[in-house]
Amino acid sequence: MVTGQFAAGGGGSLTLELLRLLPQFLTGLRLVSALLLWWLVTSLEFQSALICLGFAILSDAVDGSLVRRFGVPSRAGAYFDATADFAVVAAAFSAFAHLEIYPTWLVALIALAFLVFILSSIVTPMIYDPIGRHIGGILFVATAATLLLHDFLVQSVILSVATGSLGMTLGARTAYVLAAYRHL
Amino acid sequence: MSTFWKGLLIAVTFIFVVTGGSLIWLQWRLDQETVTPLAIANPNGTSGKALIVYQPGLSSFPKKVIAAFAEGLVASGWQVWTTTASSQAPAAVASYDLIVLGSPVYADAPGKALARYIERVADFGRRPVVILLMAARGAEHAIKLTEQMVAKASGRRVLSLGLTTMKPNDEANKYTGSNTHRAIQIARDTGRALQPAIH
Repeated sequence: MVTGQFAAGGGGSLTLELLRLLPQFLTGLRLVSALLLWWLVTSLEFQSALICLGFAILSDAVDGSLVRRFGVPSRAGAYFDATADFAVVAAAFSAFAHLEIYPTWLVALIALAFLVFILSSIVTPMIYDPIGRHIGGILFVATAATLLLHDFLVQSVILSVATGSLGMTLGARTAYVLAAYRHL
Repeated sequence: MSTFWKGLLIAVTFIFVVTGGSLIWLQWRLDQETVTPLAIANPNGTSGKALIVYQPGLSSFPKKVIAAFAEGLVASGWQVWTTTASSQAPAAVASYDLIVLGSPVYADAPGKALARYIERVADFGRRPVVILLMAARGAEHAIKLTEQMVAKASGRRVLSLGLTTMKPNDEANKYTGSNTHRAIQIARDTGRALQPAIH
């Protein structure tokens, strides 16, 4: 979930300095947790994978508010946050693809959506993409549902929702970037 | 209403619409039969004539498992006829020495197309039947249901095998290699080892 993020500011006590670094530390840990999540899913340790995912979701929810409270939001921080989210989601879905739960093209679609998100954010910051704003959340929920509900039918529904959401956000962003170019 | 809440509302509505649409489509799709021609492998096989009737499902896993099982049968000298569970699949099974029924498990039950095929055959004439089900986690209940259907249709069940994507297929070696590759290997080995089991 991409929100305004952080950059540690100068001055203040050591505690405050450490608090300013806390959001970056949490985002970094989330990035590392992606590797752990991949290993846990491919090892069929779904309960532990769920705890790992829970940490990722919690850290994603907490780091944004910590930035607003102690740090200075920055564009680089926002990209770091989005990259950590992408790493967690990509790790989970590539592990699911490894287990043949979801097709490999879904991982490619997630990577493409992330790439389009980064490029379109550089080209034009004003994009109307209501799904894209929540795509990280949708994919986190899809991951949790896959870890919790072990049934081919449920997995087919999750695949449809993930594909539809990614398709819609890709379509919206592509249309806006093209419109922005036409106005240049 | 702020842009964030408006966006969230659109996202939630979108998910509900897609989920509902998917469920309707899946119910329809799972009820549909996939018709494929009867394909033969190893026509000169001397161990016997096996008929594999399976429901392919929505993912590639069931198809891969069935293909591996067929390979195993071929390796032990069987002549293997394979087709999907449909109204075109052979209902007269008297000329086969072994019938293999395969399906993915949806909501703890075997696929509807396979269930309809068993109903259509109605009488397996005490022919040996292998049940091969593919599930995300547990296939036990679906196996029990399929065994009851086969028994009702006078089939002689010789083997039931459930292979999964999310439950270790080989508990002792769960941390080595891929669970799905192991499922495929188990299916191949079971097919190969079947000969002495049914005679």
